[in-house]
Amino acid sequence: MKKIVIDNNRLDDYRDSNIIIRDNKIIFNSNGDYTLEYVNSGDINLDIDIADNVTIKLFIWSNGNDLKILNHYKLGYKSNLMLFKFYYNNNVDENVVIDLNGEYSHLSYNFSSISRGKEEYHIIVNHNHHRVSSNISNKCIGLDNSKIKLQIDSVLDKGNTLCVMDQNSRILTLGKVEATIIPNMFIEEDSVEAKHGSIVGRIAPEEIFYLMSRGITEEEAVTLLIKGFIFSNLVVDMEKRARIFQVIQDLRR
Amino acid sequence: MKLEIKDLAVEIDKKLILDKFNLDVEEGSIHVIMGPNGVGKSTLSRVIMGDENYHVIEGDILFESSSIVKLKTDERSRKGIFLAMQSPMEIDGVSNQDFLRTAISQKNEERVGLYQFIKSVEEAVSDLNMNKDLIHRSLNVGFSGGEKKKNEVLQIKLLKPSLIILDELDSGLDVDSLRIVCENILKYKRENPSTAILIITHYSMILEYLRPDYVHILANKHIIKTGDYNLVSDIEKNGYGKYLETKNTYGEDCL
Repeated sequence: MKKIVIDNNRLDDYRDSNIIIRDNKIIFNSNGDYTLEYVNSGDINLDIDIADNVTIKLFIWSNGNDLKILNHYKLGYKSNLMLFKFYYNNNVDENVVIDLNGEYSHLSYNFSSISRGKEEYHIIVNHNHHRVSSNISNKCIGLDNSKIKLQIDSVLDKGNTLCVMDQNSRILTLGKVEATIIPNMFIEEDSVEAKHGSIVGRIAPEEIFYLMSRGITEEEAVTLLIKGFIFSNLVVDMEKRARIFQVIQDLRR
Repeated sequence: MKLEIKDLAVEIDKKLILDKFNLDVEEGSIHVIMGPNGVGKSTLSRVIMGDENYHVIEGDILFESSSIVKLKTDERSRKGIFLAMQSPMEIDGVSNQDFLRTAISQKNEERVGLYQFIKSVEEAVSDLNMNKDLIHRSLNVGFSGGEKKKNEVLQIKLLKPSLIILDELDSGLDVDSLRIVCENILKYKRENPSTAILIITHYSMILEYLRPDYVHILANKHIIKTGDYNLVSDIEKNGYGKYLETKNTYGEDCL
């Protein structure tokens, strides 16, 4: 696992023959497993290119920031981006544009967050070639008095046949939360497989009852359910798991 | 262990479900509650477990001679009551392993050691002829009906309750799975002879394995008839009709 850090909105100097970092651009030239971490950052503007035939597993971590982000990903022929993100920030205004430019390129976008302030996310996935596919899964927990807006636009122009697109977003509210999900699918091509789902809701009392009926206290039951909600969306190693778990534990204290 | 239910009246959404309900379950005994659909059999199990959707408006439930009606569900569980549910919850993201380890730790009031936990789970999983992978998967998610019920019995073996309530354990189980599940409950009972079992069912097949000492018919909000195992055969042959046509002990028409 290699870590790229953005500290105070500046990409740290990073030496790896497989990637090129230039100003605000990261180019991945061969397969790899990377972590991108925002430290003390506010305005972030990144271009991320993934070359042909390259598979990248990228974990993005941000904790305690006030973020304003514009990130632009471009995927080449047969490239594969597996993106896992975890945020626990003060406020977020994030715009992500993902261009699936090469045939057979694939995006797996998995975002989990715990929100305590005002957070707005706009994710645009452009399916710019035949046989490209995207799978987007957002799982956000809204703490009391938080505001979350998720807008996901899956875009497919006429002529790009045999594409597959899936988007699924859930916001779990803990207290008084203003939660909005806007799941858009702008599709002009008939030859496509597309599905989406959006849910805003509280923790099901039946789930809490089941856990409590096994001797687990209500407080511990809610913690287990929060952990489950967040981790069910993230495939991460033990070190990252421990960091996220620590955030949840601190939150529940 | 003794469970005593005294003159219990229970309502949900202002509708009376149980009334003047009485039942004594002695240590080590096996009871079955049978009755037509919708008479409140599952309600009874959830009231004993402390489901807050049901309101006890009269009467009392004593467990080991102490009232439990004011206790929360988790407190009742830690006292030794276990409800094997008709439709166990599927909880995405919460691994079976994480859930079990948390439950055992909370019951024992200390974090269970990993080695001891794995050893106990492996033994129980083997006894139940369960797929070992199920322990690492999300709780009950994608489990077949039979796997869910085996998972309930796995929890019994690990949490070691002194009162087991089986709410339609037989639903969703094929013949072989029903046999395995019942054999494991009987094995648990042999190892823990003071454990009492309260079975809620529509069918006699489970009772061929878990021979009850007492058979109760629930109708008109309370128990209208109590007998021994012969009562099961009679219900199987003739249905509930002749019992429902009679007056109950309060002189009221049944149903």
